[in-house]
Amino acid sequence: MIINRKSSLLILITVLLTIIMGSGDLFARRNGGGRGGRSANFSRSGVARSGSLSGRSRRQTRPAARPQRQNRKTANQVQPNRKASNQIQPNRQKNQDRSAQTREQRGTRDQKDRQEWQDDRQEAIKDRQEDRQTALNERQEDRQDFIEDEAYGHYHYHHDWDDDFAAGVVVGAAVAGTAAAAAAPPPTYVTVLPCQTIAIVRNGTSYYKCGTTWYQRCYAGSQVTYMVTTAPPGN
Amino acid sequence: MVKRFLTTFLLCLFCLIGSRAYAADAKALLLGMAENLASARQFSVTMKINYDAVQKSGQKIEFGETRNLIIQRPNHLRVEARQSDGDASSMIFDGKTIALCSRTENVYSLTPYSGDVDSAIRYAGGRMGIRIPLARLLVTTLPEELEQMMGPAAYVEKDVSGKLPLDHIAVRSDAVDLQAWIGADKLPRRIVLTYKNAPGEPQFRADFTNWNLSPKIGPETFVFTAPAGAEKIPTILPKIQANTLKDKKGGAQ
Repeated sequence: MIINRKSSLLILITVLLTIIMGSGDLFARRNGGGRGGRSANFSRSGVARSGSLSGRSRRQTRPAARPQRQNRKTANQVQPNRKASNQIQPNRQKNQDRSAQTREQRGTRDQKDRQEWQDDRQEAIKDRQEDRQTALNERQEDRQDFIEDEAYGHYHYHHDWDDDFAAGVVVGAAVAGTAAAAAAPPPTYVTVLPCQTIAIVRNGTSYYKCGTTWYQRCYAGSQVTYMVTTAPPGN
Repeated sequence: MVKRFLTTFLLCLFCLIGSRAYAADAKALLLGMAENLASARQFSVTMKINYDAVQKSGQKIEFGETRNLIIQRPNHLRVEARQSDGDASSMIFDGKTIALCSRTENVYSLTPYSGDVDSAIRYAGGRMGIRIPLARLLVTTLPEELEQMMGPAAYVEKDVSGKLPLDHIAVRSDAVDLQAWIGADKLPRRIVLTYKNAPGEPQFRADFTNWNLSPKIGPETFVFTAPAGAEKIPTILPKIQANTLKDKKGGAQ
């Protein structure tokens, strides 16, 4: 009877572990989109990615006085994720401490399991936030790389706006190839959608809604990003 | 006594001349390669790229990609890239339009731009923000740019470990240590860049294969055809002060 209970517990733990590990793998694949799959924990970015012969450091070219930043809202949409990610660590610690006390005081299996599930959930949330942050950093650094390393010659020395542009906030930008580009207000874009949503296709364009804000895809450098746009027809 | 002094002096002189000759050889070899590439009317090559991405923890992780390039001067360029994670993209310039395409996202953009390959690369890299590793190798101003950048150069060795004997050159500059392996045909077979001022001193490594200075170019080579079901999306460009793009040759806006 005791042996049966032990082996049942062992099987249960094995199944749980398999599910947890499997879901982690699925999550990694989902983030990779159509790609071969990537680990969310490693960033592809950095100065060596540029393959630049000059290897200029961004700090060497960063302007002393930075341009105006009236569009910081977009960055702030992403910023809370970073904050939240930082806040999770003490919460986890607190939960672990509480869990230890509970085990000692009560020693009940149910509570331990519940705590483990809570930890797993916290871990998953943290992972998701880190994924987003990694992707964001990667894209930002990609932009920074090209601006500083390949925008050589005359272009290079006049790129005082690089820091803001690379931070995913467009200051003084236009959508290329549109007749009203010069007169239109500068577009605002995010490198990662602030929510998980599905695309709505209207007239051949995919629209994404987060809260009350609509986005459509656009190129910012080599990266496909999400530009704030008006609601699609019929919405 | 005098004899011994003379012998030592002559030996030192030979060493000095010898080392300078090697340095001169190294520079000459590198500039020879640069001039060969700059003067080529057309070429195609495959670049197998690897680079170190230094993580926040300090751990160095290697990532890679393969790039197939074909250039027909004055104004045609095609780059097909595939990252190690499978992300596939392309850039095609036909003299009038820069077409970007992400096969992974199944989107493309068309940015009007008139000019030659040199100016298109500068525009794509400097204005549009397209990542073009070793972009300088693709422009006709490569010899002058290399000469400006080059610090001390040295001939490392004749590398006979591969199929072809290659001249291994090492050049130092303020921020980057460059190593190049150049064939007798004055084409690079391998380039390694070390970003010595960056944390972790990451490296960029490119192996060049399938060099062809007379590639087969068909009417469709530089024509962009959107993949089935691909969505056309806009490109965001930063607005730059009007005078920043002046006096750049071929810099059509």
